[in-house]
Amino acid sequence: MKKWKSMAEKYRIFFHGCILAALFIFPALNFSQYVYRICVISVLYAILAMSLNLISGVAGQISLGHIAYYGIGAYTSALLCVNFGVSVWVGILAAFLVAMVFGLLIALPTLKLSGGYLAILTMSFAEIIRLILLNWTSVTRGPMGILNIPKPSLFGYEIRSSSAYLWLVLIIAALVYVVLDNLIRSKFGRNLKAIRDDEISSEAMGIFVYRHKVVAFVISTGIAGIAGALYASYMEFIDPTSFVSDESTVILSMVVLGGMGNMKGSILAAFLLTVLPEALRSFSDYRMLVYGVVLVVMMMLKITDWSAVKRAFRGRREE
Amino acid sequence: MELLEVTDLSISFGGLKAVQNVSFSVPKGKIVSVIGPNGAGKTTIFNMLTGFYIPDTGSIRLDGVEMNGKKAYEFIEYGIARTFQNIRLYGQLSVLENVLIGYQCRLKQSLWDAIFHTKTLKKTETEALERARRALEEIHLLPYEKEMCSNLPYGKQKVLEIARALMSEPKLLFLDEPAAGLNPQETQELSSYILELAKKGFTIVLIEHDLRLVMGISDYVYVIDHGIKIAEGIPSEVQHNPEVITAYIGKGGERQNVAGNLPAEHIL
Repeated sequence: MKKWKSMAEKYRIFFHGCILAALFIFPALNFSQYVYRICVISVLYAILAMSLNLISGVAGQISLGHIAYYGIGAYTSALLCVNFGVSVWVGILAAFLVAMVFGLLIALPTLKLSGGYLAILTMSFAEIIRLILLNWTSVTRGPMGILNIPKPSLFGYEIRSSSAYLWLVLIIAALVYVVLDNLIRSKFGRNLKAIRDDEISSEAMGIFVYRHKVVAFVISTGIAGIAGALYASYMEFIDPTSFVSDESTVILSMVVLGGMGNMKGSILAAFLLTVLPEALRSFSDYRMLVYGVVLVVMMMLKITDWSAVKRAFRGRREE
Repeated sequence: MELLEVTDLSISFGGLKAVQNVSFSVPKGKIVSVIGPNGAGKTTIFNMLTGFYIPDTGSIRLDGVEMNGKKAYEFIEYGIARTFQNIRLYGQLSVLENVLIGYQCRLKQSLWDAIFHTKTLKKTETEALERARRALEEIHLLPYEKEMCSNLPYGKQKVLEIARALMSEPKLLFLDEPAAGLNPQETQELSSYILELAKKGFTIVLIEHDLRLVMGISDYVYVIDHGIKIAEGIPSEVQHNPEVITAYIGKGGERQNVAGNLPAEHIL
């Protein structure tokens, strides 16, 4: 039995290694820049979905304003790089910290609430942030956006092409995955899952519910900030239309589609929901209609929630 | 040595005086029960003793430590663990994870350990897993460790909830109606489990409706009615106390049709 288990473990490591290797070889394969561009966007969404999964999936606190922290990260990094000429790496770090500070500011008063109240409050906050970005023209240049955001460079080499940028975001996404996965598989992650299931008995079991929620929220917003900074630097141009509340809904649907608390599912769902609208371009006028139908079907079948698929298969075999 | 000393505990909700000047004590290693008719204030007392309600007056001392003013999540660290009247397990988590969460207050892991999966984390995690498995083995649920908790039968869930509370190595265990909803055979199993725990040295406070269970296993009984303590004593004393009989089945003759001609002792 034990031997079999270690075999399964070896297989798991081998499998993960293969996927990682494939991901890192992919940018070198000379596909068109269009393909790589969609891949970069998918990976950015995957980072966002994973970070939202920590607070909404694992801890069960639905946030409908996740895009705000993405926007805060993007603007922080962009403004620092353009106005003060700091390196993009410093910009990314600053985006991480500033997004965390904003996360903390919104978490402290709102996480006493839960359910619908929390969802509406986070959504309103995201709307406030969008309006500030739009109207504080002396700093953000409002609807004109920020131009000429620099790309990061490494060892004197500027990460310019989409395929090179894909490497960068893949490495960061992998790091985010490892950190979040480690968090989930610890006491902290277990406590978050407990809070999702039953706050009162969690309190009785000695879990400081409020603090756990705030910490999870702040980690989650910090990661969204990193994704925002990467986005700004990749696009070289940002304006408030990239951070509308529709985007928050898209990220949340990635989390739901991938399975609450399931990081791998979030990644897969992020890819599906980014690639699908592109793949459906041939439907022209009916594109969004088909997209909607496919989304409904995927939600019903839960095809990206791997554990649900496994359970379904196991159930069938037992019958 | 009294483990728990409660003096003059009172709480009111608006104009309703739910609990008034209740005092009692729990000696180490004993099973003490709190009984009383529906709405007497038993669960309110429990909620005050476990930090969920803040009493208006009175003091709660556990092993000489004043517990008043402490937050609900701090109680378990001082050694007070509880179960709930209607089971509050984590339905979506596995049986093993449920038991592990009972141990989390003794598990020393920082966020840093969690993010980098340090040696401390691996060591503490293995230790916690071993303890959890041992606890499951004791209640014969080890084969179901991966099962989702909500799939277990009701009686098993009750026992699992007690096991989860015990994982925190409490000095004092509060059981809120452990026999509610159990069939007679399950109740029987539960009472022998509770007796076993007392033999191991746990101190247990019990709120219960099932009087057969209470009278069978308690060392001492307190009776509450309308938020006031009306009687206390060893089970056989309480059973014959006229005030208790009145509280449960009404004054002589008043509820004849309910109690029939049965002597009151028979019902209690």
